[in-house]
Amino acid sequence: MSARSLDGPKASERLATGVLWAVSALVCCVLLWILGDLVVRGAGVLSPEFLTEAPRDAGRAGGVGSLIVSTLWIVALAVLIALPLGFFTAVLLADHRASRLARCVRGCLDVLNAVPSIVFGLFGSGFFCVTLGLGYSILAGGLTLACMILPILIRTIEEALRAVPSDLALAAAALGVSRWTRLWRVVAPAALPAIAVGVVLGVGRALSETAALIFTSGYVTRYPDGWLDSGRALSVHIYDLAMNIPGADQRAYGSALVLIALLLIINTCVRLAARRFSARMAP
Amino acid sequence: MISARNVGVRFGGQPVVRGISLDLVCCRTTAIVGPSGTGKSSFLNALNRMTDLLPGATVEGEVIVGGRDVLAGAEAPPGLRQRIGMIFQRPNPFPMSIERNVHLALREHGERDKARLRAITEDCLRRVGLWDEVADRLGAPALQLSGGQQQRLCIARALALEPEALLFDEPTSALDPLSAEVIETLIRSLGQTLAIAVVTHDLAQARRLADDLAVFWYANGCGELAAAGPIEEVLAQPHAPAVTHYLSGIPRLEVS
Repeated sequence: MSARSLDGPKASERLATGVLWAVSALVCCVLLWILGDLVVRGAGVLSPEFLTEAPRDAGRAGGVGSLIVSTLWIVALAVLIALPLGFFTAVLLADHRASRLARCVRGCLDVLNAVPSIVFGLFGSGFFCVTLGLGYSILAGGLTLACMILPILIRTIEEALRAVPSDLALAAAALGVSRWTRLWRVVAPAALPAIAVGVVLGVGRALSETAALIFTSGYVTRYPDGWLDSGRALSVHIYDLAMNIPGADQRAYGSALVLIALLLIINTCVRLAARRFSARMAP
Repeated sequence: MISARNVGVRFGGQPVVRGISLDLVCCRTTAIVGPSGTGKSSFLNALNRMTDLLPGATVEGEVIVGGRDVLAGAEAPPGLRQRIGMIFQRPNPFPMSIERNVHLALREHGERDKARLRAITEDCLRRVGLWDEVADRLGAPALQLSGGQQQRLCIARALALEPEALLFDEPTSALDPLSAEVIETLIRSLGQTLAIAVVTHDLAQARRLADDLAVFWYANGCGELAAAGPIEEVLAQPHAPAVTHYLSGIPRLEVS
Protein backbone atom coordinates (compact mmCIF):
# COMPACT_ATOMS: atom_id res chain seq x y z
CA MET A 1 0.00 0.00 0.00
CA SER A 2 1.40 3.36 -0.96
CA ALA A 3 2.11 6.10 1.57
CA ARG A 4 -0.39 8.36 -0.11
CA SER A 5 -3.36 6.06 0.32
CA LEU A 6 -2.43 5.67 3.97
CA ASP A 7 -2.59 9.43 4.36
CA GLY A 8 -6.00 9.49 2.73
CA PRO A 9 -6.87 11.42 -0.41
CA LYS A 10 -5.54 14.92 -0.91
CA ALA A 11 -7.78 17.91 -0.34
CA SER A 12 -8.08 18.59 -4.07
CA GLU A 13 -9.30 15.03 -4.67
CA ARG A 14 -11.79 15.31 -1.85
CA LEU A 15 -13.05 18.52 -3.42
CA ALA A 16 -13.45 16.85 -6.82
CA THR A 17 -15.34 13.96 -5.26
CA GLY A 18 -17.56 16.40 -3.41
CA VAL A 19 -18.37 18.34 -6.56
CA LEU A 20 -19.25 15.14 -8.44
CA TRP A 21 -21.55 14.04 -5.65
CA ALA A 22 -23.18 17.44 -5.43
CA VAL A 23 -23.87 17.58 -9.17
CA SER A 24 -25.31 14.06 -9.20
CA ALA A 25 -27.48 14.85 -6.21
CA LEU A 26 -28.69 18.02 -7.89
CA VAL A 27 -29.80 16.07 -10.98
CA CYS A 28 -31.67 13.57 -8.81
CA CYS A 29 -33.25 16.43 -6.89
CA VAL A 30 -34.65 17.97 -10.06
CA LEU A 31 -36.32 14.68 -10.97
CA LEU A 32 -37.63 14.16 -7.43
CA TRP A 33 -38.89 17.74 -7.30
CA ILE A 34 -40.88 17.32 -10.52
CA LEU A 35 -42.30 13.99 -9.39
CA GLY A 36 -43.05 15.35 -5.92
CA ASP A 37 -44.79 18.36 -7.39
CA LEU A 38 -46.94 16.10 -9.56
CA VAL A 39 -47.87 13.89 -6.63
CA VAL A 40 -48.66 16.76 -4.26
CA ARG A 41 -50.83 18.59 -6.76
CA GLY A 42 -52.34 15.69 -8.68
CA ALA A 43 -52.69 12.72 -6.34
CA GLY A 44 -55.92 14.17 -4.94
CA VAL A 45 -57.87 13.46 -8.11
CA LEU A 46 -56.73 9.86 -8.46
CA SER A 47 -59.49 7.33 -7.93
CA PRO A 48 -60.77 4.21 -9.69
CA GLU A 49 -63.32 6.38 -11.50
CA PHE A 50 -60.59 8.76 -12.67
CA LEU A 51 -58.80 5.83 -14.30
CA THR A 52 -61.88 4.39 -16.00
CA GLU A 53 -64.27 7.21 -16.90
CA ALA A 54 -64.14 9.46 -19.93
CA PRO A 55 -63.66 13.19 -19.25
CA ARG A 56 -66.76 15.29 -18.69
CA ASP A 57 -67.29 19.07 -18.82
CA ALA A 58 -64.20 19.54 -21.04
CA GLY A 59 -62.07 17.67 -18.51
CA ARG A 60 -63.12 19.49 -15.35
CA ALA A 61 -64.91 16.32 -14.25
CA GLY A 62 -64.84 12.63 -15.09
CA GLY A 63 -61.56 10.80 -15.66
CA VAL A 64 -58.97 9.82 -18.23
CA GLY A 65 -59.95 6.18 -18.93
CA SER A 66 -60.76 6.79 -22.59
CA LEU A 67 -57.51 8.71 -23.01
CA ILE A 68 -55.44 5.88 -21.57
CA VAL A 69 -57.04 3.55 -24.12
CA SER A 70 -56.40 5.97 -26.99
CA THR A 71 -52.81 6.55 -25.86
CA LEU A 72 -52.05 2.85 -25.65
CA TRP A 73 -53.58 2.30 -29.09
CA ILE A 74 -51.53 5.09 -30.65
CA VAL A 75 -48.25 4.06 -29.03
CA ALA A 76 -48.78 0.36 -29.78
CA LEU A 77 -49.50 1.13 -33.44
CA ALA A 78 -46.46 3.41 -33.67
CA VAL A 79 -44.14 0.76 -32.24
CA LEU A 80 -45.66 -2.09 -34.28
CA ILE A 81 -45.21 -0.09 -37.48
CA ALA A 82 -41.81 1.39 -36.70
CA LEU A 83 -40.14 -1.69 -35.19
CA PRO A 84 -40.04 -3.96 -38.28
CA LEU A 85 -39.08 -1.06 -40.56
CA GLY A 86 -36.46 0.10 -38.10
CA PHE A 87 -35.09 -3.39 -37.52
CA PHE A 88 -34.49 -4.19 -41.16
CA THR A 89 -33.06 -0.76 -41.91
CA ALA A 90 -30.72 -1.22 -38.96
CA VAL A 91 -29.68 -4.65 -40.27
CA LEU A 92 -28.81 -3.06 -43.60
CA LEU A 93 -26.86 -0.26 -41.94
CA ALA A 94 -24.99 -2.64 -39.65
CA ASP A 95 -24.08 -4.92 -42.57
CA HIS A 96 -22.90 -2.16 -44.88
CA ARG A 97 -21.59 0.16 -42.23
CA ALA A 98 -19.03 1.93 -44.39
CA SER A 99 -20.92 2.08 -47.70
CA ARG A 100 -21.99 5.38 -49.23
CA LEU A 101 -25.64 4.33 -48.97
CA ALA A 102 -25.29 3.67 -45.24
CA ARG A 103 -23.58 7.00 -44.63
CA CYS A 104 -26.31 8.76 -46.59
CA VAL A 105 -29.11 6.98 -44.70
CA ARG A 106 -27.44 7.72 -41.38
CA GLY A 107 -27.12 11.40 -42.25
CA CYS A 108 -30.82 11.55 -43.18
CA LEU A 109 -31.76 9.86 -39.92
CA ASP A 110 -29.77 12.34 -37.87
CA VAL A 111 -31.55 15.22 -39.57
CA LEU A 112 -34.91 13.49 -39.16
CA ASN A 113 -34.17 12.96 -35.47
CA ALA A 114 -33.65 16.68 -35.01
CA VAL A 115 -36.86 17.71 -36.80
CA PRO A 116 -39.29 19.35 -34.34
CA SER A 117 -42.33 17.22 -33.65
CA ILE A 118 -44.72 19.93 -34.78
CA VAL A 119 -43.28 19.43 -38.28
CA PHE A 120 -44.11 15.74 -38.09
CA GLY A 121 -47.59 16.78 -36.96
CA LEU A 122 -48.05 18.99 -40.00
CA PHE A 123 -46.71 16.31 -42.32
CA GLY A 124 -48.91 13.67 -40.70
CA SER A 125 -52.06 15.71 -40.92
CA GLY A 126 -51.30 16.65 -44.53
CA PHE A 127 -50.28 13.21 -45.73
CA PHE A 128 -51.99 10.60 -43.55
CA CYS A 129 -55.15 12.52 -42.63
CA VAL A 130 -55.82 14.35 -45.90
CA THR A 131 -53.94 12.69 -48.77
CA LEU A 132 -54.50 9.12 -47.57
CA GLY A 133 -57.95 10.08 -46.28
CA LEU A 134 -57.49 8.62 -42.80
CA GLY A 135 -58.92 11.76 -41.20
CA TYR A 136 -58.36 12.44 -37.52
CA SER A 137 -57.73 8.88 -36.42
CA ILE A 138 -55.68 6.76 -34.10
CA LEU A 139 -54.12 5.12 -37.16
CA ALA A 140 -53.00 8.49 -38.54
CA GLY A 141 -51.55 9.37 -35.13
CA GLY A 142 -49.78 6.03 -34.88
CA LEU A 143 -48.29 6.40 -38.36
CA THR A 144 -47.08 9.92 -37.61
CA LEU A 145 -45.48 8.80 -34.37
CA ALA A 146 -43.94 5.82 -36.17
CA CYS A 147 -42.17 8.25 -38.54
CA MET A 148 -41.04 10.25 -35.56
CA ILE A 149 -39.56 7.40 -33.54
CA LEU A 150 -38.00 5.62 -36.54
CA PRO A 151 -34.67 7.48 -36.37
CA ILE A 152 -34.08 6.75 -32.70
CA LEU A 153 -35.15 3.11 -33.12
CA ILE A 154 -32.90 2.58 -36.13
CA ARG A 155 -29.84 4.13 -34.52
CA THR A 156 -30.21 2.19 -31.26
CA ILE A 157 -30.94 -1.11 -33.02
CA GLU A 158 -27.98 -0.58 -35.34
CA GLU A 159 -25.72 -0.01 -32.33
CA ALA A 160 -27.22 -3.09 -30.67
CA LEU A 161 -26.51 -5.28 -33.70
CA ARG A 162 -22.99 -3.94 -34.09
CA ALA A 163 -22.24 -4.65 -30.45
CA VAL A 164 -22.80 -8.38 -31.03
CA PRO A 165 -19.34 -9.95 -31.43
CA SER A 166 -18.68 -10.80 -35.09
CA ASP A 167 -17.34 -14.14 -33.79
CA LEU A 168 -20.89 -15.36 -33.41
CA ALA A 169 -21.95 -14.65 -36.97
CA LEU A 170 -18.69 -16.15 -38.27
CA ALA A 171 -19.13 -19.27 -36.13
CA ALA A 172 -22.64 -19.73 -37.48
CA ALA A 173 -21.46 -19.17 -41.05
CA ALA A 174 -18.71 -21.75 -40.54
CA LEU A 175 -21.45 -24.27 -39.70
CA GLY A 176 -23.10 -23.55 -43.03
CA VAL A 177 -25.91 -21.54 -41.46
CA SER A 178 -27.63 -19.16 -43.88
CA ARG A 179 -27.51 -15.41 -43.53
CA TRP A 180 -31.18 -15.24 -42.58
CA THR A 181 -30.84 -17.83 -39.81
CA ARG A 182 -27.66 -16.15 -38.57
CA LEU A 183 -29.53 -12.88 -38.23
CA TRP A 184 -32.70 -14.35 -36.82
CA ARG A 185 -31.42 -17.05 -34.49
CA VAL A 186 -27.98 -15.80 -33.46
CA VAL A 187 -27.39 -12.08 -33.88
CA ALA A 188 -30.85 -10.67 -33.15
CA PRO A 189 -31.36 -12.68 -29.92
CA ALA A 190 -27.92 -11.63 -28.70
CA ALA A 191 -28.81 -8.01 -29.43
CA LEU A 192 -32.28 -8.21 -27.90
CA PRO A 193 -31.61 -6.54 -24.54
CA ALA A 194 -30.05 -3.55 -26.28
CA ILE A 195 -32.88 -3.50 -28.82
CA ALA A 196 -35.30 -3.36 -25.89
CA VAL A 197 -33.57 -0.20 -24.71
CA GLY A 198 -34.24 1.32 -28.13
CA VAL A 199 -37.91 0.37 -27.88
CA VAL A 200 -38.10 1.92 -24.42
CA LEU A 201 -36.62 5.16 -25.76
CA GLY A 202 -39.06 5.11 -28.67
CA VAL A 203 -42.05 4.45 -26.42
CA GLY A 204 -40.95 7.25 -24.13
CA ARG A 205 -40.81 9.67 -27.02
CA ALA A 206 -44.15 8.49 -28.39
CA LEU A 207 -45.93 8.68 -25.03
CA SER A 208 -44.77 12.19 -24.36
CA GLU A 209 -45.71 13.51 -27.78
CA THR A 210 -48.29 16.27 -28.05
CA ALA A 211 -47.59 18.41 -31.08
CA ALA A 212 -47.51 15.55 -33.56
CA LEU A 213 -50.81 14.18 -32.30
CA ILE A 214 -53.04 17.25 -32.03
CA PHE A 215 -53.35 17.43 -35.82
CA THR A 216 -53.45 13.69 -36.48
CA SER A 217 -55.23 11.63 -33.84
CA GLY A 218 -57.43 14.53 -32.82
CA TYR A 219 -58.85 15.56 -29.47
CA VAL A 220 -62.14 13.73 -29.10
CA THR A 221 -62.32 12.60 -25.49
CA ARG A 222 -64.71 9.64 -25.68
CA TYR A 223 -63.61 6.00 -25.81
CA PRO A 224 -62.44 5.30 -29.38
CA ASP A 225 -64.49 2.87 -31.49
CA GLY A 226 -61.47 1.47 -33.21
CA TRP A 227 -58.23 2.50 -34.83
CA LEU A 228 -59.95 4.58 -37.50
CA ASP A 229 -61.76 6.61 -34.85
CA SER A 230 -60.35 9.78 -33.42
CA GLY A 231 -58.89 9.61 -29.92
CA ARG A 232 -57.15 12.05 -27.62
CA ALA A 233 -53.77 11.10 -26.20
CA LEU A 234 -52.96 11.79 -22.54
CA SER A 235 -50.28 14.32 -23.36
CA VAL A 236 -52.68 16.23 -25.60
CA HIS A 237 -55.18 16.16 -22.74
CA ILE A 238 -52.65 17.58 -20.30
CA TYR A 239 -51.80 20.35 -22.73
CA ASP A 240 -55.49 21.14 -23.23
CA LEU A 241 -56.30 21.16 -19.50
CA ALA A 242 -53.32 23.30 -18.63
CA MET A 243 -53.67 25.84 -21.43
CA ASN A 244 -57.32 26.04 -22.39
CA ILE A 245 -59.55 24.92 -19.53
CA PRO A 246 -59.75 27.19 -16.51
CA GLY A 247 -60.20 25.35 -13.24
CA ALA A 248 -58.76 22.02 -14.39
CA ASP A 249 -55.22 22.41 -13.10
CA GLN A 250 -55.47 19.65 -10.55
CA ARG A 251 -56.79 17.27 -13.19
CA ALA A 252 -53.90 18.21 -15.47
CA TYR A 253 -51.50 17.18 -12.71
CA GLY A 254 -53.45 13.98 -12.09
CA SER A 255 -53.31 13.14 -15.81
CA ALA A 256 -49.57 13.79 -15.86
CA LEU A 257 -49.17 11.42 -12.94
CA VAL A 258 -51.07 8.74 -14.87
CA LEU A 259 -48.87 9.35 -17.92
CA ILE A 260 -45.68 8.93 -15.89
CA ALA A 261 -47.04 5.77 -14.29
CA LEU A 262 -47.89 4.41 -17.74
CA LEU A 263 -44.36 5.15 -18.93
CA LEU A 264 -42.81 3.41 -15.93
CA ILE A 265 -45.06 0.37 -16.31
CA ILE A 266 -44.32 -0.05 -20.03
CA ASN A 267 -40.58 0.46 -19.55
CA THR A 268 -40.45 -2.04 -16.72
CA CYS A 269 -42.39 -4.63 -18.71
CA VAL A 270 -40.16 -4.31 -21.79
CA ARG A 271 -36.98 -4.50 -19.73
CA LEU A 272 -38.19 -7.45 -17.67
CA ALA A 273 -39.22 -9.34 -20.81
CA ALA A 274 -35.83 -8.71 -22.41
CA ARG A 275 -34.00 -9.71 -19.26
CA ARG A 276 -35.98 -12.91 -18.86
CA PHE A 277 -35.28 -13.76 -22.46
CA SER A 278 -31.56 -13.10 -22.22
CA ALA A 279 -31.30 -14.94 -18.90
CA ARG A 280 -32.16 -18.07 -20.84
CA MET A 281 -29.36 -17.25 -23.27
CA ALA A 282 -26.50 -16.32 -21.02
CA PRO A 283 -25.70 -16.82 -17.35
CA MET B 1 -9.66 -34.82 -49.47
CA ILE B 2 -9.00 -31.12 -50.00
CA SER B 3 -6.51 -30.06 -52.64
CA ALA B 4 -5.35 -26.46 -52.69
CA ARG B 5 -3.77 -25.52 -56.02
CA ASN B 6 -1.84 -22.27 -56.19
CA VAL B 7 -4.18 -20.60 -53.72
CA GLY B 8 -3.68 -16.95 -52.83
CA VAL B 9 -5.67 -14.47 -50.77
CA ARG B 10 -5.73 -10.71 -51.23
CA PHE B 11 -7.19 -8.08 -48.96
CA GLY B 12 -8.19 -4.94 -50.82
CA GLY B 13 -6.03 -6.05 -53.75
CA GLN B 14 -2.95 -6.49 -51.53
CA PRO B 15 -1.75 -10.11 -51.48
CA VAL B 16 -1.25 -11.55 -47.99
CA VAL B 17 -0.50 -15.08 -49.12
CA ARG B 18 -0.03 -16.66 -52.54
CA GLY B 19 0.95 -19.75 -54.45
CA ILE B 20 -0.05 -22.26 -51.80
CA SER B 21 -0.43 -25.83 -53.04
CA LEU B 22 -1.25 -28.20 -50.24
CA ASP B 23 -3.23 -31.43 -49.85
CA LEU B 24 -5.25 -32.24 -46.76
CA VAL B 25 -6.01 -35.94 -46.79
CA CYS B 26 -8.18 -38.16 -44.67
CA CYS B 27 -6.78 -39.45 -41.43
CA ARG B 28 -3.78 -37.15 -41.49
CA THR B 29 -3.26 -34.01 -39.47
CA THR B 30 -1.41 -31.11 -41.07
CA ALA B 31 0.11 -28.47 -38.83
CA ILE B 32 0.45 -25.07 -40.48
CA VAL B 33 3.20 -23.02 -38.83
CA GLY B 34 5.06 -19.82 -39.58
CA PRO B 35 5.49 -16.29 -38.28
CA SER B 36 2.54 -13.93 -37.85
CA GLY B 37 1.34 -12.17 -40.98
CA THR B 38 2.21 -14.96 -43.41
CA GLY B 39 -1.44 -15.64 -44.24
CA LYS B 40 -1.93 -18.97 -42.46
CA SER B 41 -5.43 -18.09 -41.23
CA SER B 42 -6.35 -16.41 -44.51
CA PHE B 43 -5.39 -19.58 -46.36
CA LEU B 44 -7.44 -21.69 -43.95
CA ASN B 45 -10.43 -19.39 -44.45
CA ALA B 46 -10.15 -19.76 -48.22
CA LEU B 47 -10.59 -23.55 -48.01
CA ASN B 48 -14.25 -23.41 -46.97
CA ARG B 49 -14.89 -20.00 -48.48
CA MET B 50 -15.15 -18.21 -45.15
CA THR B 51 -13.22 -15.55 -47.05
CA ASP B 52 -16.58 -14.62 -48.61
CA LEU B 53 -17.44 -13.02 -45.27
CA LEU B 54 -14.20 -11.16 -44.76
CA PRO B 55 -14.53 -7.60 -46.09
CA GLY B 56 -12.23 -6.92 -49.01
CA ALA B 57 -10.95 -10.48 -49.32
CA THR B 58 -10.53 -12.11 -52.73
CA VAL B 59 -9.21 -15.60 -53.40
CA GLU B 60 -7.34 -16.94 -56.42
CA GLY B 61 -6.31 -20.44 -57.42
CA GLU B 62 -8.28 -23.65 -57.04
CA VAL B 63 -9.56 -25.57 -54.04
CA ILE B 64 -10.57 -29.04 -55.15
CA VAL B 65 -12.99 -30.84 -52.83
CA GLY B 66 -14.43 -34.15 -54.02
CA GLY B 67 -12.93 -33.61 -57.46
CA ARG B 68 -14.50 -30.20 -58.06
CA ASP B 69 -13.20 -26.66 -57.69
CA VAL B 70 -15.22 -25.06 -54.91
CA LEU B 71 -13.74 -21.61 -55.51
CA ALA B 72 -15.30 -21.71 -58.97
CA GLY B 73 -18.66 -22.23 -57.26
CA ALA B 74 -18.91 -26.03 -57.60
CA GLU B 75 -20.64 -26.15 -54.25
CA ALA B 76 -22.68 -23.54 -52.39
CA PRO B 77 -20.98 -22.31 -49.18
CA PRO B 78 -23.50 -23.84 -46.74
CA GLY B 79 -22.92 -27.36 -48.08
CA LEU B 80 -19.19 -26.78 -48.37
CA ARG B 81 -18.90 -25.56 -44.77
CA GLN B 82 -20.92 -28.54 -43.60
CA ARG B 83 -18.27 -30.79 -45.21
CA ILE B 84 -15.32 -28.68 -44.05
CA GLY B 85 -15.83 -27.47 -40.50
CA MET B 86 -13.90 -24.71 -38.80
CA ILE B 87 -12.90 -24.12 -35.18
CA PHE B 88 -11.75 -20.67 -34.13
CA GLN B 89 -9.13 -19.37 -31.74
CA ARG B 90 -11.59 -18.08 -29.18
CA PRO B 91 -14.39 -20.44 -28.18
CA ASN B 92 -17.55 -18.93 -29.61
CA PRO B 93 -20.63 -20.83 -28.48
CA PHE B 94 -23.91 -19.16 -29.32
CA PRO B 95 -25.65 -17.42 -26.39
CA MET B 96 -28.25 -20.17 -26.10
CA SER B 97 -28.54 -23.55 -24.42
CA ILE B 98 -25.87 -26.23 -24.84
CA GLU B 99 -28.32 -28.40 -26.72
CA ARG B 100 -29.48 -25.62 -29.04
CA ASN B 101 -25.86 -24.90 -29.93
CA VAL B 102 -25.70 -28.34 -31.50
CA HIS B 103 -29.22 -28.24 -32.96
CA LEU B 104 -29.00 -24.88 -34.71
CA ALA B 105 -26.93 -25.96 -37.69
CA LEU B 106 -28.49 -29.45 -37.79
CA ARG B 107 -31.95 -27.94 -38.17
CA GLU B 108 -30.61 -25.58 -40.79
CA HIS B 109 -29.37 -28.56 -42.78
CA GLY B 110 -32.77 -30.20 -42.61
CA GLU B 111 -32.72 -32.45 -39.53
CA ARG B 112 -36.06 -31.93 -37.77
CA ASP B 113 -36.72 -35.25 -36.09
CA LYS B 114 -36.52 -34.75 -32.32
CA ALA B 115 -35.27 -38.23 -31.52
CA ARG B 116 -32.58 -38.02 -34.21
CA LEU B 117 -31.52 -34.59 -32.92
CA ARG B 118 -31.20 -35.98 -29.40
CA ALA B 119 -29.22 -38.97 -30.59
CA ILE B 120 -26.82 -36.88 -32.67
CA THR B 121 -26.37 -34.44 -29.78
CA GLU B 122 -25.45 -37.22 -27.39
CA ASP B 123 -23.16 -38.85 -29.92
CA CYS B 124 -21.15 -35.76 -30.76
CA LEU B 125 -20.98 -34.60 -27.14
CA ARG B 126 -19.61 -38.03 -26.26
CA ARG B 127 -17.03 -37.78 -29.03
CA VAL B 128 -15.64 -34.57 -27.50
CA GLY B 129 -15.85 -36.00 -23.98
CA LEU B 130 -18.41 -33.45 -22.86
CA TRP B 131 -21.42 -35.70 -22.43
CA ASP B 132 -20.71 -36.85 -18.88
CA GLU B 133 -20.06 -33.26 -17.82
CA VAL B 134 -23.25 -31.75 -19.25
CA ALA B 135 -25.76 -34.62 -19.68
CA ASP B 136 -27.86 -33.35 -16.78
CA ARG B 137 -27.93 -29.73 -17.94
CA LEU B 138 -28.32 -29.71 -21.71
CA GLY B 139 -30.78 -26.84 -21.35
CA ALA B 140 -28.30 -24.65 -19.47
CA PRO B 141 -26.72 -21.64 -21.23
CA ALA B 142 -23.59 -22.65 -23.12
CA LEU B 143 -21.82 -19.55 -21.81
CA GLN B 144 -21.89 -21.07 -18.33
CA LEU B 145 -19.32 -23.64 -19.45
CA SER B 146 -15.61 -23.12 -18.87
CA GLY B 147 -13.42 -21.97 -21.78
CA GLY B 148 -12.17 -25.47 -22.53
CA GLN B 149 -15.67 -26.93 -22.35
CA GLN B 150 -16.93 -24.17 -24.66
CA GLN B 151 -14.25 -25.02 -27.19
CA ARG B 152 -15.19 -28.71 -27.03
CA LEU B 153 -18.84 -27.74 -27.55
CA CYS B 154 -17.78 -25.79 -30.64
CA ILE B 155 -16.00 -28.89 -31.93
CA ALA B 156 -19.05 -31.03 -31.09
CA ARG B 157 -21.44 -28.85 -33.05
CA ALA B 158 -19.11 -29.02 -36.05
CA LEU B 159 -18.89 -32.82 -35.69
CA ALA B 160 -22.68 -33.04 -35.60
CA LEU B 161 -22.68 -32.12 -39.30
CA GLU B 162 -20.48 -35.15 -40.09
CA PRO B 163 -17.69 -33.18 -41.79
CA GLU B 164 -14.93 -34.74 -43.88
CA ALA B 165 -12.38 -32.24 -42.68
CA LEU B 166 -11.90 -29.86 -39.76
CA LEU B 167 -9.86 -26.68 -39.89
CA PHE B 168 -8.52 -25.46 -36.56
CA ASP B 169 -7.31 -21.87 -36.33
CA GLU B 170 -5.07 -21.74 -33.23
CA PRO B 171 -7.62 -23.79 -31.28
CA THR B 172 -5.85 -23.71 -27.91
CA SER B 173 -4.16 -20.32 -27.77
CA ALA B 174 -7.03 -18.76 -25.80
CA LEU B 175 -7.17 -21.63 -23.30
CA ASP B 176 -5.37 -22.54 -20.09
CA PRO B 177 -2.74 -25.32 -20.39
CA LEU B 178 -4.96 -28.05 -18.93
CA SER B 179 -7.88 -27.28 -21.23
CA ALA B 180 -5.43 -27.02 -24.13
CA GLU B 181 -4.16 -30.50 -23.39
CA VAL B 182 -7.70 -31.90 -23.47
CA ILE B 183 -8.34 -30.22 -26.83
CA GLU B 184 -5.05 -31.58 -28.21
CA THR B 185 -5.92 -35.11 -27.17
CA LEU B 186 -9.29 -34.63 -28.82
CA ILE B 187 -7.75 -33.39 -32.07
CA ARG B 188 -5.45 -36.42 -32.10
CA SER B 189 -8.37 -38.80 -31.75
CA LEU B 190 -10.39 -36.97 -34.43
CA GLY B 191 -7.35 -37.22 -36.67
CA GLN B 192 -7.91 -40.98 -36.85
CA THR B 193 -10.98 -40.47 -39.04
CA LEU B 194 -10.85 -36.94 -40.48
CA ALA B 195 -8.60 -34.73 -42.54
CA ILE B 196 -7.39 -32.05 -40.16
CA ALA B 197 -5.47 -28.82 -40.52
CA VAL B 198 -4.23 -26.95 -37.45
CA VAL B 199 -2.78 -23.46 -37.61
CA THR B 200 -0.59 -23.04 -34.55
CA HIS B 201 2.16 -20.85 -33.14
CA ASP B 202 3.03 -23.52 -30.61
CA LEU B 203 5.78 -25.55 -32.27
CA ALA B 204 5.73 -28.20 -29.55
CA GLN B 205 2.04 -28.59 -30.25
CA ALA B 206 2.76 -28.95 -33.96
CA ARG B 207 5.14 -31.77 -33.08
CA ARG B 208 2.54 -33.47 -30.87
CA LEU B 209 -0.30 -33.23 -33.40
CA ALA B 210 1.11 -33.30 -36.88
CA ASP B 211 1.66 -36.03 -39.39
CA ASP B 212 2.42 -33.38 -42.00
CA LEU B 213 3.94 -29.97 -41.63
CA ALA B 214 3.43 -26.87 -43.78
CA VAL B 215 5.74 -23.92 -43.15
CA PHE B 216 4.53 -20.49 -44.28
CA TRP B 217 7.21 -17.87 -44.68
CA TYR B 218 7.30 -14.21 -45.59
CA ALA B 219 8.83 -13.78 -49.06
CA ASN B 220 8.50 -11.20 -51.81
CA GLY B 221 6.13 -9.06 -49.77
CA CYS B 222 3.65 -11.72 -48.73
CA GLY B 223 3.23 -15.19 -47.29
CA GLU B 224 4.40 -18.19 -49.29
CA LEU B 225 4.85 -21.88 -48.66
CA ALA B 226 8.47 -22.50 -47.63
CA ALA B 227 8.15 -26.26 -47.17
CA ALA B 228 5.49 -28.94 -46.85
CA GLY B 229 5.36 -32.68 -46.36
CA PRO B 230 5.58 -35.36 -43.68
CA ILE B 231 6.95 -33.65 -40.59
CA GLU B 232 10.17 -35.69 -40.34
CA GLU B 233 11.00 -35.08 -43.99
CA VAL B 234 10.40 -31.36 -43.70
CA LEU B 235 12.59 -31.13 -40.63
CA ALA B 236 15.36 -33.10 -42.35
CA GLN B 237 15.38 -30.88 -45.45
CA PRO B 238 17.79 -27.98 -45.80
CA HIS B 239 16.12 -24.55 -45.41
CA ALA B 240 17.07 -20.90 -45.48
CA PRO B 241 18.90 -20.01 -42.24
CA ALA B 242 15.96 -18.08 -40.78
CA VAL B 243 13.59 -20.97 -41.44
CA THR B 244 16.02 -23.46 -39.97
CA HIS B 245 16.32 -21.29 -36.88
CA TYR B 246 12.51 -21.07 -36.60
CA LEU B 247 12.03 -24.81 -37.05
CA SER B 248 14.64 -25.54 -34.39
CA GLY B 249 11.86 -24.61 -32.00
CA ILE B 250 10.17 -27.90 -32.85
CA PRO B 251 11.25 -30.50 -30.31
CA ARG B 252 13.05 -33.63 -31.49
CA LEU B 253 10.97 -36.75 -31.78
CA GLU B 254 10.76 -38.33 -28.37
CA VAL B 255 12.28 -41.78 -28.27
CA SER B 256 10.44 -43.88 -25.79
